[in-house]
Amino acid sequence: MLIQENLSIQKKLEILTDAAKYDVACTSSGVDRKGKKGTMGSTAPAGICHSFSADGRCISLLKILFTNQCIYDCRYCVNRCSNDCVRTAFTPEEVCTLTMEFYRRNYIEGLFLSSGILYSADYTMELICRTLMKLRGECGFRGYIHVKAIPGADPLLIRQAGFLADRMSVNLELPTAEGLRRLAPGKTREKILLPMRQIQRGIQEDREEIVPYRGREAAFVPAGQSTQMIVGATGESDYQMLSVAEALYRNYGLKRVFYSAFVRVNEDSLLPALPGGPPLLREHRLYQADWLLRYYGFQAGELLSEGQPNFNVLLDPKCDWALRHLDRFPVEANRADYYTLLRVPGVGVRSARRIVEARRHGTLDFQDLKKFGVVLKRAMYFLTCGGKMFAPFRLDQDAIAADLAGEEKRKVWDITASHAYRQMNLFDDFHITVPPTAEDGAAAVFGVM
Amino acid sequence: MDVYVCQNDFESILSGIYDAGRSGKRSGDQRLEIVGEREPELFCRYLEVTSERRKAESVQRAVRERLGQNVLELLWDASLCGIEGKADCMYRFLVDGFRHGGKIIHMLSLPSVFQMLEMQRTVRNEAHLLTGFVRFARTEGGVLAGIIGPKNDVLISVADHFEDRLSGEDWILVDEVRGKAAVHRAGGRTVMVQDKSGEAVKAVRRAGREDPFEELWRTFTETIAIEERGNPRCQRTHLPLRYIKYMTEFQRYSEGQS
Repeated sequence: MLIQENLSIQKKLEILTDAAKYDVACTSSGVDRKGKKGTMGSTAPAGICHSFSADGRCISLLKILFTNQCIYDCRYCVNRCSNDCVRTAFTPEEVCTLTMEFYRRNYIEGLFLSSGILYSADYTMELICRTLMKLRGECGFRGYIHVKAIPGADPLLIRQAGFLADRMSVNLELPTAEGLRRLAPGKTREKILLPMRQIQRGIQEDREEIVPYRGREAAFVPAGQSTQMIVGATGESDYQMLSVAEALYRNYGLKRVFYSAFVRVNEDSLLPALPGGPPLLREHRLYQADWLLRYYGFQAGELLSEGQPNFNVLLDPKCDWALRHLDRFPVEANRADYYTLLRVPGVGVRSARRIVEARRHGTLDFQDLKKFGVVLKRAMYFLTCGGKMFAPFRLDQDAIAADLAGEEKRKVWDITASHAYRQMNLFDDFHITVPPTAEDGAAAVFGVM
Repeated sequence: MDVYVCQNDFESILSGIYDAGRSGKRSGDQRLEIVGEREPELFCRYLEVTSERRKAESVQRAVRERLGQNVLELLWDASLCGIEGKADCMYRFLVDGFRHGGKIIHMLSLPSVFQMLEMQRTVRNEAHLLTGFVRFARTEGGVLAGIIGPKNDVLISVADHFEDRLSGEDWILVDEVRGKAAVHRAGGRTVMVQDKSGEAVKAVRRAGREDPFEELWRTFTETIAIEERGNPRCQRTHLPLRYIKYMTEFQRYSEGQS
């Protein structure tokens, strides 16, 4: 493969940005680092978005590949070695200049450096390390750095990168080993999980150090690690994806799992056709569920199951869960504890906190809840204030579900899923409209049907 | 109804609150207004507030002692807010505050308290957004220059952020709407200066044309978007149009349109 090195920086930036854009993570959160005289940069714990691109995604970091050359032939990837495209690579100096100059003008919050595999994993990882070293050392950069750990690279190199970066990530890409075998012939699940485990151990050791004499300056991956899964490239159900995500949070201590709706960039017989564009709604539902796992105390098994492996198209996962558990509702806004409130559709972390804070000093009514940011359109079916409901609703699953799904979608709802929430009933579910005749009655009595 | 008319700054509003508090009338019979905020009404007596440091300090002391430091911060943040009726809101809040004591800040179901917290949130949100949306252009002399036009008076807290982050740079950040600017010298402290004539804004506009990195940045922002996921509405939700006109990556479009 010929690597074009004499391209202009403009052209290189275009090619290597274009190749990096399918990586979704662009967060700059998790580290609180003040500026320091003689250096440039700081980080904010909440992260800062600097712009938003035409697809509505946040631009926070300078997201580029070091090179788009790659030895692997993953079928879903735009940089696979069998694709015929212009290949190029930055030099460490170029990456540093771009980062520093962009940062100075407040275009970006930091650098997100990923890369295709040039010659070998070690070679690539070493280049990345050299770049980061230059950026932190010579250039005195104190902003945010997110870097990819290349699976298969020497653990020492990954460790070195971990002390220079704020966040590291290894992309799982496909949630099951089977999918990986099919679409990414060069990779195995073990190979991907290995650096993930190493980073997790590194972070733990760093936290457990009794005397942090190195100070916060040299913490190991202080913003934690993240990963990404592609949604809809292989046949996994939402339940499988969510269970994998839950396992990653629990067993690997990940900060974030990102979901990326599959965009068909290559013509390949093993990839799904996706005539309706990328599965954005499915991605959206997965993110909603991901939030429920991380902040609302839900578990994957509560939201989905083997019997119901995919999310409802018309309802968000929390409404869906609440409708399945109507026996726990309505709850009293003035008494229910914080975690119970969090499980009410239409109540979020902020509004739940406000409710808990405000009710110590007086009784709340629905108008107060509305002011606190509770979305009454959803919450009204599930809450009482002072023992009263918002309006006299019947706690009926179908009726509430249809209301929640919205007027305009009601028809779709009626056609596709009108009986999803009711228990089956011998007499209602067969829609017998003609009254039984006298003969039928007689036949039933004498048992000769 | 007595109406105390104050200027749009912290000291003047607190002086107004002081005057209203010392008048001996019921709080329901008086209110505060920022000058020029509302049309004059017929059955009102308008009283001009003279802004005095003595009055403001007296109110601050009382608030700090009886309600706590964080209530004082809340007042300061609210005074930066750009919405109508903030002075009166601060007055109502303090009337309630001195009645209930330090726990007032948790009594969210009181309208005055909730409104104050909303104002604080608006101010802090905009300050946070601007820490990301500010764009500097490099002038020939090597000075970084940026313009903002925020709804709320957040220049100070935005400048604070950059004083920490870009301590080794010379930069100037101009608030176009309020005619003031924050100026920072490398290694030094940030100074606030008045710029009523708009000279600084013009100078910054002139400077931002020839920076080679602006073109690179536009290339980047255009390339990073995934075409198949195009969603301009989502983009506008996160990035309101009023910020866009100050941002480098959108400037070429606006020039093309004009």
